[in-house]
Amino acid sequence: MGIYTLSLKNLRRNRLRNLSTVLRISLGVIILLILVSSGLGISSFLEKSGPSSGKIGVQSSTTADNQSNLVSSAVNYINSFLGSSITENQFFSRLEGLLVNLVYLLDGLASVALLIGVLGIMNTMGFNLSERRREIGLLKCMGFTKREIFISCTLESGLLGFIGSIVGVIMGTLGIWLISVFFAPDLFNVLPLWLFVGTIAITTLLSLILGLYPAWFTSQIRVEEALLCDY
Amino acid sequence: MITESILAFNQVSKVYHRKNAEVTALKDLSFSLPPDSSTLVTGPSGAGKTSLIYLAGLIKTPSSGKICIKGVPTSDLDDSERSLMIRNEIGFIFRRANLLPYLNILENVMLPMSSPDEGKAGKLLEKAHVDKWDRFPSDMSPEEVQKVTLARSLVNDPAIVLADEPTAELDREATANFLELLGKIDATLLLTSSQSSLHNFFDKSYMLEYGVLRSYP
Repeated sequence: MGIYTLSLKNLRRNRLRNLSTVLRISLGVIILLILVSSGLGISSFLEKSGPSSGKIGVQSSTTADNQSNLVSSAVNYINSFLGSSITENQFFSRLEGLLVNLVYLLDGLASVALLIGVLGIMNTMGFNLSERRREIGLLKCMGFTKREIFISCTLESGLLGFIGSIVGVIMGTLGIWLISVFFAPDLFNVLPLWLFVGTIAITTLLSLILGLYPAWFTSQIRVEEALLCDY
Repeated sequence: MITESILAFNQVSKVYHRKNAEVTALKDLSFSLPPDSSTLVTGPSGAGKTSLIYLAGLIKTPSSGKICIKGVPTSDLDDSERSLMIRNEIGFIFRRANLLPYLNILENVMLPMSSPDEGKAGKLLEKAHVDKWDRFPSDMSPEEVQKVTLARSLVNDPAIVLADEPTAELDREATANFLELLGKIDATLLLTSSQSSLHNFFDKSYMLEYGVLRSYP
C-alpha cells in the first residue's frame, strides 16, 4: 500500500478532531474571503471614482448636486467640530487615504484570521501522531522508511488544510453572495477567480508547512520505544 | 557457514546503558539458522528474548559482534538499505496490537507490499484460515489478529519470520492452531516464548537465561 493511500486512510480516524480542525480552517477561510472581498469592493469603488482629485463619489446630474450639498455640510461640520479649515478637495483626499488604509487593515485582519485557523493543524497533527506511536513502530517494522513516514504525515496535514479550504471557499462564496444580494449588489462581480484558487493554494501550503514539524518528530521515533507504547 | 544460513549471530552482545549502570541483555550469542528451519527460544521474562528479536530484525544494533542475514553483514547497511532489507527479507509478529486499527484485514495484509496485490494477500489469508476480509481489527479475536499478522508477515516472501511471544495472549487451543500454521510457512522461523512446552513444534530449541543462550533441553 502506498504512503498516499495511507495518508487518506488515516483521515478516517479521530473524525471529531479532524472535523473540528477542518471547521476551524474553514472559518478562517470564510473570514479571509469576506474581509478580502470587502477590501476589493472598496478598491473597486475607489478605482471607479478615479484618482484622488477631489471627485470621489461625485456623479453627474441631480444626484451630484445632492451629494455636493451633503459633502459641503459634512466638511462644514468637521471644520466647526475640530476647529480646522479643510477644503472639500482635502476632505476627499483624506477620505481616500482612509479607505486605502482600511483596505490594508482588512487584508491584514484576513491574513491573521486564516493563520489562526490554520495554526490549529499543528495542534491536531501533534495529537493525532502522538496517539499513533505504536503504529509508526509497526510501519517501520514493515520496512517503511523515515522519509515515507514523514511524507505520509505531512500529506495528512496538507489534506486537512485542502479539505478545510474547499469547505471554507464554498461557504465563504455563499456568504459573499448573500452580502452582495442584500447589501452590496456589485460586490460579487468584483471578486476575481484567483482569490478562490489562491486561498485554496495558500491554505493547503500553510497546512503542509505547519505539519512538517509533527511529521518530522514522528518519523524520528525509535521503533523499540514505539513498540513499548500501548496505543 | 555464514553464507549458507539465513540468520547468523557471531559473538553478539547487547549492553544497555542505564543512568548509573550497564545492563548486559545478551552475552556473546553465536548461532545460525538454516533455510526453512524453525527455532524456538524460551526464557523467563527479562531474559533478553525481545532484544534478540530486535537485533535479528535490525531494529537494534548490537554492542559487539556480527549479525548476517543471508550472508549480508547488517552493520554495513545504512538506514534506507536496512529498511529495504526489513521489507524484503524479514516478517515480524509481535505479542499484541500488530494491526493498524483503521485498516481492514485485507488492507492490513497488503500494507507492506510495494505494489498492492489483492490476489496474493487473499491466498495468504485463505491459508491462514481467515475469512470476511472487510472486517476491522476491533471485530477480531486475538487468534484471528495473529493469523492476519502471520499473513502480513509473509506477504513479501521474506527469508525469515521473527515472532516475539506471539502466543502469549492466546489460549492453549489457539496456540496449537497458530503454531500449526507457523509450521507450514515457507520461511525460516525464529520464535520466542516464555512457554518451554512449545518445543515439540520446532526443529531446534534454545533456552535464554541471563543473556546466555543454551541448547534445549
